Amino acid sequence: MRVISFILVVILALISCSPALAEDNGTITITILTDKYIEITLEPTEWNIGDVEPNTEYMTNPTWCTTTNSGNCAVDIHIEGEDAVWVDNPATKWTLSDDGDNAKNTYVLWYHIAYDDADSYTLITTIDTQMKKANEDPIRLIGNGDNKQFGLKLLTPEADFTTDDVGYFYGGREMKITVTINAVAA
Amino acid sequence: MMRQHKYIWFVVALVVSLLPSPVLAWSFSVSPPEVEIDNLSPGQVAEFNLTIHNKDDISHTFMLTTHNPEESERRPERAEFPNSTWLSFPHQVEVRANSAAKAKVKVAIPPQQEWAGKNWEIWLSITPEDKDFLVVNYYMRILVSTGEGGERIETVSPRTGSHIVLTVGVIVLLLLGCGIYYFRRKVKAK
Repeated sequence: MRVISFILVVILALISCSPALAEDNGTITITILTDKYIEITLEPTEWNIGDVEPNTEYMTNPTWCTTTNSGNCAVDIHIEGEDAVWVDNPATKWTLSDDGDNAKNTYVLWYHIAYDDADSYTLITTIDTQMKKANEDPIRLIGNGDNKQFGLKLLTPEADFTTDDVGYFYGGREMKITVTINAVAA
Repeated sequence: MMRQHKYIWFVVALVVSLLPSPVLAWSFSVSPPEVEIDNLSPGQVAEFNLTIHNKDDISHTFMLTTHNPEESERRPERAEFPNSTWLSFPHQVEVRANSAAKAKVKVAIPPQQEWAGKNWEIWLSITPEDKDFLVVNYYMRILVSTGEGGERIETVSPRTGSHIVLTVGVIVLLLLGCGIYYFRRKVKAK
């Protein structure tokens, strides 16, 4: 009788532990490649446009900026823009166009991949978008040292006011633009 | 009144114009570029660390936010992560010059059964607070696959499973030991 009682005790103990055993079979797995890191460099990071006039295009050299993979994994390159803000009063903005057309207080930005088809400028919007060539090939930096060059084009807003058929901005403002270059593991 | 100003000023490059050679405003890396969490059942929590390495000679603050990528940018068979608030992480990380700092990221799935057996992807964005005209941002891919289960609310860290096995093993050994002791005592008594 005592033997049977003991066996029952052992069985009951094992049964009570079974959910824990079952849970262990569902162990969470976290896979992290700790020796991999993501890093890109941009050069230059500034575009000194200077004074600008209404409804006018400004562009860099097509090889103006070099994006280099300084990490150890392949990365895809994305780009997104922002509204331009008046440095002294950020509430005053130029909205970044989402259709390629400028307007009063709306400006336009494009990028061009170096050595791509001439005049193949792609619109930059406030939505993060993968950079691509004219033939839709994505910009991918496959390993350390791999690089791509690109240039920018900007179309300023239409004039704030017109005098004698000449458009003018309200002057004396310093506008600041930020363009973000995003990198993600390919 | 302001008509005497013919132009608007577009000043974005003061640093470059003052320095004799081009400089990078920041240099930093992020590791890992991708994290894959498998078999995370509803009601469970998983956590991991990301490392931000500031390679500049001055300290920088980095901003962390989530980003839901378009379907075409996600890994195959991955759906949009249902709710970015299921991720918790510091939204700002300050990293000293030429140093690295870790940030803990937790992924907590609600206990409802409807979240079982899913494959999701969400990106964690890491970008410097100080920005030039061009600024670099890194996305870390976080891939989450949920296991079966649900409704029970419990917190299980990645290593808890092995603790459970250890506890059960100790209990079984104790019971076996007691049993052997009991039988030996009984045999001696006879």
